[in-house]
Amino acid sequence: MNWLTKPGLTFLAIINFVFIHSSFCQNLDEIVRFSNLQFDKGNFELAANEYNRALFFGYQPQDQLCLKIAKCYLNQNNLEQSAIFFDRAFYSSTSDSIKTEAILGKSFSLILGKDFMYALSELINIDSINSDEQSSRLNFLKGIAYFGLNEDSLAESSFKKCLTELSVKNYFAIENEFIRLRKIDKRYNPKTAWFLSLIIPGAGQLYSGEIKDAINSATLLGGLIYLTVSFAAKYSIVEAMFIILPWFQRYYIGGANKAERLTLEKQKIKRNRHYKTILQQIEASSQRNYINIE
Amino acid sequence: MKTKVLIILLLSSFNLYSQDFYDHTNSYKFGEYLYNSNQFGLAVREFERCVFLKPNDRESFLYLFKIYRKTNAFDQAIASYQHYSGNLYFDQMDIDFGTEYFKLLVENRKYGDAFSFLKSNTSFNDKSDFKFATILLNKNWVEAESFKNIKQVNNSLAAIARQGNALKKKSPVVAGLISAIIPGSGKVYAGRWKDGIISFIMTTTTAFIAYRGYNKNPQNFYPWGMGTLAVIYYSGNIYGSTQAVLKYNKDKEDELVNKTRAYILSDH
Amino acid sequence: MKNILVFLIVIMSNIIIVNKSAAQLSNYVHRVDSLFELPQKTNYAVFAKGNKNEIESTSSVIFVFYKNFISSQDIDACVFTPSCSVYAIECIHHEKNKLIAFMKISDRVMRCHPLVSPGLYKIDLKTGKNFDPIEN
Repeated sequence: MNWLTKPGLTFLAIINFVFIHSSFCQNLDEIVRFSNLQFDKGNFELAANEYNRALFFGYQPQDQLCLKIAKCYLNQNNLEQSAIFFDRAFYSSTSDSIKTEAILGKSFSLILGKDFMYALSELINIDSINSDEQSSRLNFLKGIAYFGLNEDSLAESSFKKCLTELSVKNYFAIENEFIRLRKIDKRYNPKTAWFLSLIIPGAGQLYSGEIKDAINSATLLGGLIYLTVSFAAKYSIVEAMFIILPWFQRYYIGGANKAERLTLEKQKIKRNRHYKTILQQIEASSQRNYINIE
Repeated sequence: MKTKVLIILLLSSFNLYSQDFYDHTNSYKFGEYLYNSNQFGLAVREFERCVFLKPNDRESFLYLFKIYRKTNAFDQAIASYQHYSGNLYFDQMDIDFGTEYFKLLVENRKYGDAFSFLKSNTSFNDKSDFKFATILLNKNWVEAESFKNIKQVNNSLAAIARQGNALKKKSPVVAGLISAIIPGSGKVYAGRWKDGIISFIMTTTTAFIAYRGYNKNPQNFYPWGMGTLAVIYYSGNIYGSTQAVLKYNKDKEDELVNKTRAYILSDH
Repeated sequence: MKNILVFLIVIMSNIIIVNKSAAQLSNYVHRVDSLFELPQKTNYAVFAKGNKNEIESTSSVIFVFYKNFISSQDIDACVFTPSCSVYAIECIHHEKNKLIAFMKISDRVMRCHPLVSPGLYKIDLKTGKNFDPIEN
């Protein structure tokens, strides 16, 4: 029993402590590795569960786990929980890169929920950019947020910034799209459509390119005018005024409103089409970039 | 002394070395954390594992039951209880499961079932609040007044019972009758004077136009058309008045029922 | 020889990094692809299905015609969700006693006016109108 001296015991205690600690860490590491695998495979629910477990049992650093959990929820379209965990990642982190990543993630989930104003206010607060990749993502998200808020010129400059130098062709393609985008507002003016329909029923619908609706409106109102006149001739003007005229007035204003609505819809459809082309250009640029270097 | 220290140190090291994050204790703790951070979908997995590892784990079953109640998965809640107890004798449910089951029934508006459940289950004998609440939920205001333990009941529930007894219901028959005499008056009686005025105007105007047209030329189609419309409006006005009164009565009672519901479902 | 090795390493690392960034961005692009898509229009023919007798089929034909050619040109006048015409067609389909169905419809038409007192009906969050289904 000679080795049971004080230094001997201390040594044992230290060994014990280290042993326990390392075994603990190894276990948690394993869990995180497993979760990473599941995350890469796309099993986001399982990954979220295991990341949460590692987080709960004290895995360090926490911020990366929170980021991962948030991404799991984002991929499962659970925007509410993903925003919560991006926030947690932001507040538990001391690294600028991860803080930026958390804000980018949160604003992405906000954009998916169509809250462009909030997303933009988050994006503007980013003060440190750590890689080209982050900066291009930041500009991409800014571009979408501005686009959603109908701020076309700001959207244009943001979208252009997220292209790399190599893609001159995509740069001009995006510029071209925005030039055409600006013409939409002039070509499809809702106020003009409304006014046109007031002068000649159906004209506003024709202006927005909806021939079927134009014929529909014109026939309906023509029919009502005919009914008013025939009623006035058969019975009396008072009867016609009281019975038919309110309906005529209703569909007259309704037709004008419809023309306005159709023009707005047309604007949105056209905008959506240009938006998709812009996205294609950005995607093409990021992929060709890769191919060129290869 | 030293040997003892050594043994303790060694033992503790073994104990911790074999610490497995997927064992029962850790799963349970982790499940609790998930439950408290509202990640119910993930918490279910943990408690299901706890239950698998320890088939008699009452606490985990209770958590499962709570989660299924909060996500309003009625059938799964019942299935998990059946798994726990091996049967479905609701009259033998203990107080914790019983409370959750009771809340589940109330949440799903099965008030009659809630009432008979409390009556059959002996562990709720001294829960006068719940018993009283089921009487209120079933709108038996008179019975609530003569409840034998009324002095032990929470004040807000007793107040609801008093309000229920003081309710002045309106008669749908009266509404229908006065609407037949003066169109729209039944709706005014039900407290919807704007609806009443519109009803009156629409019914009388169509009737007047029909009458005027008929006087001018009875062979025309349009006074007959207008007359038909007037009859439709008139009958709709009588029907609507009775419905408005019925809805008025129902709304007044439902307001009290909802107060009772809120009292039961709040986590106090 | 050494230079070539360094060059190769730089190229390889570039490929790996850029490849990753491309993948991330294209993942983003696919998620936001349909962000500005217009919502699908309601197909009113759905309400006109399952007719059991002449009253129901006639009403369905009138309903579809009205929705497509008349109501589509109207101002947004109805204060309820579902609108009066949808309420009517549902009433005719679901109410066994057609007389009561007609009374319900005419009552609903008379209740549909802009003076509705606030608080009388629940507000439907999607449309911002008074929620009044046929079960009420």
